[in-house]
Amino acid sequence: MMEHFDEELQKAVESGQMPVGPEEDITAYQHVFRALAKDPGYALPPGFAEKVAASLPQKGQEHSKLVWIGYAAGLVFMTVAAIFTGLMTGLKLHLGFFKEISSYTGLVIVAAVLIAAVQWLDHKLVTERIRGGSGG
Amino acid sequence: MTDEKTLVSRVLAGEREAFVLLVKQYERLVVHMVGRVVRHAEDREEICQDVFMRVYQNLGKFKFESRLSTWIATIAYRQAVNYVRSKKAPVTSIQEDERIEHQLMEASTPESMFEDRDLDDFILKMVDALSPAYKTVLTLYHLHGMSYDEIGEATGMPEGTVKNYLFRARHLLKEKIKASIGREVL
Repeated sequence: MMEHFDEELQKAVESGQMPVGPEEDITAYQHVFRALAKDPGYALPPGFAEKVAASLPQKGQEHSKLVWIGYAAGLVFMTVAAIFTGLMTGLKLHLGFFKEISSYTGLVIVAAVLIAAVQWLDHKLVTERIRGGSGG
Repeated sequence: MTDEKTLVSRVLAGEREAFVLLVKQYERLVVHMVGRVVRHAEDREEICQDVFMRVYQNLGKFKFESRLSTWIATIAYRQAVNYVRSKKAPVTSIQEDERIEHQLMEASTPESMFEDRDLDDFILKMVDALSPAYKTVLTLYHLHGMSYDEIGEATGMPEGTVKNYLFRARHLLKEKIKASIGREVL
């Protein structure tokens, strides 16, 4: 009952009507509603919006997705072309080539390690520097 | 204020200036949401930044089924609550709310409250002492003019709970003010 009366009082004060009830309750509610409409004082620093926008992915990075799609499309095209050529020329695969290189196992391993090392160094020293330079 | 649909389509088209405009338009809402849940002022800016990054990443999924402000408030509330949970601080339960209500009623009032400004500051301090759920509901309703339904959507609370929280919070504040004003008159 009391709760219902209080609820009606809140509605009346909020809508700016002339509430009927104890004066002290009405005054207290008026103070509460006025204070609640005030800003609590939390604020973000000036230039916050620009800072957030600057941290969005760079256009170049978005573009790199397209580059990867291009690589994939190229790979698919080359595979299809190779299969087609093989079929047209009647190419037959045999294990002779692998037998030949099996006598140079050490050389093959060294070559693979060297290629991997060059790729890794390129990624670490060159690509990251280029990205760092364009980012900021 | 820029029209929501125009603004969203400009951001989706990759216009950086449009995104700056979007952030400026909603940063007050986001900082209020985050501020009501996260106590440490130094963490708020970072969380607000994360909120806008999430908004940017998911803007394409926004279907205008609600107002943009409600959708952004939802993201801000979830982000803030997840942050508090990640810091292993429990998000206040109903029982906790009752304890806070009790504390609030027992808290001392300033000696002089004849000035309206002092009284407003005092009320805002009391609001700040409430649990995040109460504070968030009060802020969205009174400062951002959201409906019960929209607050429910943003916070994941049933509409009845939103109404109940609003009523209880205002009732608590009223009782506290009434007691303080009574003391002043005597």
